[in-house]
Amino acid sequence: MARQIVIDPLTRIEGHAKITLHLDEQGAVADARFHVTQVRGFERLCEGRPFDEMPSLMARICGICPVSHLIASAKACDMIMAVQIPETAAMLRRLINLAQLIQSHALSFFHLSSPDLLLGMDADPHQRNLFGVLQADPALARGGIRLRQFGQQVIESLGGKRIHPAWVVAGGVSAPLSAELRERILAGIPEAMAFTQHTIEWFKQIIERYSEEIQTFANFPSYFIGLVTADGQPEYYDGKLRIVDALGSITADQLEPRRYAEYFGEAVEPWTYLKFPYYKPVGYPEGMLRVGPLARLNLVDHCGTPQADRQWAAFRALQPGAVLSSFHYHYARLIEVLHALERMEQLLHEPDILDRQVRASAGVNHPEGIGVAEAPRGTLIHHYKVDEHGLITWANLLIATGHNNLAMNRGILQVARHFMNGAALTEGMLNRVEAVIRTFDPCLSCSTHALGNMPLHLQLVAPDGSVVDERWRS
Amino acid sequence: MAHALIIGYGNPLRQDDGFGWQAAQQCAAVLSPAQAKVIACHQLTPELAEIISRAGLVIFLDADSEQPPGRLSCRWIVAEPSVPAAFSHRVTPQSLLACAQALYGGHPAAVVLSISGVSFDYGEALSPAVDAVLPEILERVQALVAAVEHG
Repeated sequence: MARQIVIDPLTRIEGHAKITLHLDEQGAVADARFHVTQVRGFERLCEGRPFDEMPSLMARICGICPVSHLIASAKACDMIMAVQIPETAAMLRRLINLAQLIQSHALSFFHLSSPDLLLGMDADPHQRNLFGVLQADPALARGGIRLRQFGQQVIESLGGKRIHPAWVVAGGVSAPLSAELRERILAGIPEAMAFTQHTIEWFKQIIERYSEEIQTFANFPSYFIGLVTADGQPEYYDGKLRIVDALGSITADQLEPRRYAEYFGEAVEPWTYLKFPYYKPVGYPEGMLRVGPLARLNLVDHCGTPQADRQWAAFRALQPGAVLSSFHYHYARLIEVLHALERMEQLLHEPDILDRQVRASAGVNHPEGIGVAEAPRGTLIHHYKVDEHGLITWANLLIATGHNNLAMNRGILQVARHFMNGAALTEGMLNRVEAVIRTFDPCLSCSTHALGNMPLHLQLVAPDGSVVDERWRS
Repeated sequence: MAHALIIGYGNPLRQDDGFGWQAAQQCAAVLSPAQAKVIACHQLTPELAEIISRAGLVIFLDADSEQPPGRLSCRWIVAEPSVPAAFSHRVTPQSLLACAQALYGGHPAAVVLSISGVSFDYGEALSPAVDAVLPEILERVQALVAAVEHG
């Protein structure tokens, strides 16, 4: 009799989800489904609101990456106003976006995933958490906290508060950067950079222990998508879309982000609220995408900053073509932190960074606005339509976690097939199913625009629909 | 260094869940920076461990749903280093103390002042029952801060 396993809800990811593992008649895992069971409906919520309220409103989607939503939303509003924002404003938006990337990646790596990496996938779940890390390696825990704190402090200093800052506005930013703050941010960069470099070297040493996980954690061909500069560097604020395949070959390049609907299709499955974006020219599900740190490092020709370029070269040497294992999202995240710190330093030394002209103003000059940026988890798209009074009549959000949905499902299936031993749920398999999801660092609050907790519920389900085994983790 | 650290936490967009946030803001209005450092935040995170380790007393202000609505509780807490895996970036007051102890060498005495909420729906206003407790909370916080000031 075929059966189904359900993991609901997952721990240490942002949001709420459940996993079902479907067994065939022989007891082997036939399918895996990552169900996102909440819906929040932000797109409907914003209808009728004035467009210039959108950045603040959209930032409420998420407490982890509100800055990403601010940026994408403000860019969409810039388009509605038909303004070109002052160059200093664009640099300051880049600065806060990089700070956001640092704090979010630090949260993912140190607070959420380092317990798996330091203590091992088979460690007791009661020990395999941040507090287990601080017992086993206080320096790593302390450094991770400091790194995230650095990113948060930059956001708070620029934006007025660390969560839901309102500094990024339609037309630019609401206040210029002070010389004192510039010096304060610069002063924090060396420590953050030294710790990040140290952690990258540590990570390179410990990954030898995880060869089995590297082989089985969503390790398969897919397309990779993200923003790049004209000369192939990573671009988090602006730029054009590039798509590469599993061989690392460029499939399409310098695509205009505002024409995203030509490149991204969205499939819907009846068992989840999270849609399945795919690369439209290839179709669904063959056009499976990955976005975020792993994708970005697979896309680029170089990073454009010396320390990150050195690490990027080692990363890309992991295998010919694109690096396919999602386990290496962790590695890519660390390299991106290093790059972000270097870019912040460059930006803060720009001669015009203290310029006081940081905001353009205008009314409604265009009925539609599209803003695209790279959030920590990948490409983020905000698309609004307004009436003649500037009130939102329609909104569409394509969220980074959504782009990875198909790959996450396939990754769970790959892990379950490899680590499932017999017809019962084992801790080792459960831990790895959770861990493969965490490599993507999904933000389900964002992707469903939902609200809620994230415990773990896994069910094993027979072909007749009966639940054969079930586990909950708070 | 401030003698006392006051941390009010919760979601100010979910009615009574914003109690800690609002209580913290009222504390900031009546206490001088020399008396207490006041933090209002959405949730407790490990980043707070360092500042906790440097305080003379930490007062957590929170809302819960464990008692009859509107009831105020005052609990002195100790470090509890072992926590089940969950959202490990969202921590409890007890585990924050443990974090401060393990990473920064110590933690002060700590108390949780918590009110049981009536409604946690969307909205920025506290329910009348919870709002009515704010003055009492303020008095208790001031008394605790004064006790620390006087050794």
